[in-house]
Amino acid sequence: MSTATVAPVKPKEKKEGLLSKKNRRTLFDPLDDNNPITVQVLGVCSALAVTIQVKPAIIMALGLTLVSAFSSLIIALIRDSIPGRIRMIVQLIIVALLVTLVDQVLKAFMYDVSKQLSVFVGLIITNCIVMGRLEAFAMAQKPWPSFLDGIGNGLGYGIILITVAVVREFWGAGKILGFQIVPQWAYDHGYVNNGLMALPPAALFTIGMYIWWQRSRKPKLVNVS
Amino acid sequence: MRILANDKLNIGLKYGSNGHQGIPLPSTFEKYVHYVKGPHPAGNVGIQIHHTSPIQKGEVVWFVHPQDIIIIGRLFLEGQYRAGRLIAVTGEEIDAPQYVTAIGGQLISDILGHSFDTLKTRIIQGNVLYGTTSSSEDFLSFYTNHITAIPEGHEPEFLGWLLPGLNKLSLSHTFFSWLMPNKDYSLNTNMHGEERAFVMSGQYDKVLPMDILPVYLLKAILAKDVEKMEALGIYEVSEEDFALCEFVCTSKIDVQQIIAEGLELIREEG
Amino acid sequence: MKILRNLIDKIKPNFVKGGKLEKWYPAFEAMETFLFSPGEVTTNKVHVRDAVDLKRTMITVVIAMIPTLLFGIWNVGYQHYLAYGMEMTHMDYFLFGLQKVVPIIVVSYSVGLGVEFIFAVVKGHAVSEGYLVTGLLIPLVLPVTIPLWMVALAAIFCTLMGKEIFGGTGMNFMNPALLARAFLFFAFPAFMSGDIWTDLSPESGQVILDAYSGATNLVAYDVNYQHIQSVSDMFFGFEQGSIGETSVLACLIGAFILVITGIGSWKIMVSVFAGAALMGLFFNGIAPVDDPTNYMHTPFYYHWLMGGFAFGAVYMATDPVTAAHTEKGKWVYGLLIGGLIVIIRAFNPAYPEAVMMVILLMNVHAPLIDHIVVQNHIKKRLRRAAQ
Repeated sequence: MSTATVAPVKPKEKKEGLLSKKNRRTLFDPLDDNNPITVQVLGVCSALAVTIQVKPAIIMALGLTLVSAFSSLIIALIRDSIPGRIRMIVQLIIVALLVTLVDQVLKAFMYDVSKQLSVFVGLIITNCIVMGRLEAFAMAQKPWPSFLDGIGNGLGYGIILITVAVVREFWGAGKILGFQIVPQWAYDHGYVNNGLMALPPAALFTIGMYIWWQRSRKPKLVNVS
Repeated sequence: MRILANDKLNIGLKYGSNGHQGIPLPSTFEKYVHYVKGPHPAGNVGIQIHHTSPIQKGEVVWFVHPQDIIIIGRLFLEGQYRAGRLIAVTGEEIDAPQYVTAIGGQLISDILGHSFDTLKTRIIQGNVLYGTTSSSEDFLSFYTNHITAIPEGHEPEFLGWLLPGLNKLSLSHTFFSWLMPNKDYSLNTNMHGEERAFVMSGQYDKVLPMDILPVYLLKAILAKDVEKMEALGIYEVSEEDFALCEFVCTSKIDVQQIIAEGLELIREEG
Repeated sequence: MKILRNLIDKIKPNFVKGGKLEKWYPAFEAMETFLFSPGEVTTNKVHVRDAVDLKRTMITVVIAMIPTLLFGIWNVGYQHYLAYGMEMTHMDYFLFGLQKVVPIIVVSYSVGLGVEFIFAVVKGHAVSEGYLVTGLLIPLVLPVTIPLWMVALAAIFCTLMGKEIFGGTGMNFMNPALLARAFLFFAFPAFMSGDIWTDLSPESGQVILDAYSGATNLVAYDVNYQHIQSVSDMFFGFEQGSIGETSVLACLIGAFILVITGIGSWKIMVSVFAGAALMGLFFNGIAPVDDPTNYMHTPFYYHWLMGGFAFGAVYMATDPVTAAHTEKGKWVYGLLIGGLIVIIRAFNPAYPEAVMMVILLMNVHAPLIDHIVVQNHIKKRLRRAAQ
């Protein structure tokens, strides 16, 4: 969890378009160049746990995107009235509120997925990405960019989550989203699902491979984290 | 000498010898003398300094070769500067290895009697481990006491890595030549391989008689980590101490080059 | 030979800078240096170089592995016919083993070297010789019944994740061959444990003996350590197991070659064996007296002989890249490997073959050991400077 404190900077009093260049950067940077998992190295723990199958990964990604977007928005709205000393507590209350909402919705409408995600939905509260972005961004920015930053980081997290989940579900179970991808004749000819891919270490080195690929595409990212 | 050195003089002598060239040392010098024995690089200045009084940061050690002492001595005793010195002329390409007297600045081909083709023969001022490449048209350097001429090794060799290798000199025992310890080898300048990353460990330690961890020092230099270099004793080493390391290196790393860079870096940093 | 040289010289201009096949230079270079030691000359202050290079080093390790390979091939056939209760000549044993083992070796080499060549061409660095050893180690640590596509997958995995991701031979921190085995062990557990150690391809008119059991000595050891095969069987290797690991004798011959050529560190080998012996003796000392079948009663030399201990100590733990690099560190590294193997064998019956995981674990910790040694060295230097 990032504890870096950013002194609130008075934002410039200038009207910007809703999707100005800067705002677009705020939204899209976290998808790749400033990805929360592979570059900021936040939120790795849940990425290891919920990526065995694609479906829970998608739900998790959506849940986190919602939580981080709206908590950023709310914090940014009230940032000037939060006393500096208890800002963490205020942040936690808001995040917890949103997480509880997501959790209840999942339990009500997608009970089986909610069971699979088990404790990890609740743990979004402590997910480093949410708190990290609140501290690093939303506390010092206007609501709209904060909202975009929340969405961007949630989606950046989601991209990794889903990529890893696709790899792991394909190799580990021969399926993607529950649909059989590896044909039956392959099994008849001796193909076997890869049991390692169902174990958490597989997520670790799949992320490692992703980082390798990302760094060799963009050498400027080497040694940034 | 003693006055120059402010009473911090050290003399390194071959173990068992008593004085230089039969001239007994004055007994007042006795306390400065250190006797050295063992195979190369025991005679290296750097190694001797390391074992007598290791250099600390900021210290400067001056050293004088015996031949130069003689020249200096002559200057004081006879009032004449006679720069003639004994030079060993050796190497496979030399027909008659011998000592000759020469003066710094003399043409090399004059000393050797005739000139050599630079493509086939390499003339080295100094020995094969840390001399500088030279040529017949070059002049004798002030510091040179030794000229070596060996064949260049441009010839590729068929399946060289697989054959038993009865005539290959190697400190590792991977060639069968190690079973014949007294064999004379024909050495040439072939690299015998290509540069690789550090792979083998413990190779350098065997040929570096110093209390230094060579690979870690080299890595610190490559990483330009000055603090680590100091901690690992960069001040105590000089390039030629690592000549044997470079010779044995399986990965064909230019060890002396790296050390030279490290020393350069240290000088820049102060 | 002359013709070959001329041919190479003729096609060389295509590959050097500016030639039309410039991109393929690393692949070409690897082939060229494979055939001919390069004619490069020294450019630096050292004018003569030691004749040894990495190719020579690696090929020496391969030679050191040949005893285990030959014995492994023979043993594959021997175990096969033993299961059917058939008496055959040594030649038959050997030939049967040959047709089972050679495909595994071929797949391992071709796939792994393929990956190395691709990376060399894409990244423009030289093809490294490390895979010469890894490519033979992988078959030796696998059961003979392993499907070939799994061998290929493991070779790809270990080259990618074990080496290339870190920058190639010399930069990796875990032994690639063991990584390949660990990968298969976790990915396809059904093919790496259980009744898979003997090739049971059907023999016409023969049925498998009732007395046949597919269990290795380590499995038997789990049930009761007193029920394993005789010490001499285990020493010579007439037991089931991975292709190359069974014969302690063959490993010792390999160890002899490695030590005498100065390539394998004798310090590591000795300390691994010593670590196991010390830990074994320690367990003997504290073993419960009223329970004579307790694992802790196992004589320490059983640990030397069982499973892949000798193979791991000789060929795996001594890998110079992934072992401790400092001389003092090597002792610590080896002792810890030996000791941990015995601890895990004694206390974790569910997972008796500890050698692979322990060596990988210590590979990861080797830099830490080295760091401590280096720090001590620095402290010692500072003390001396203070005087």
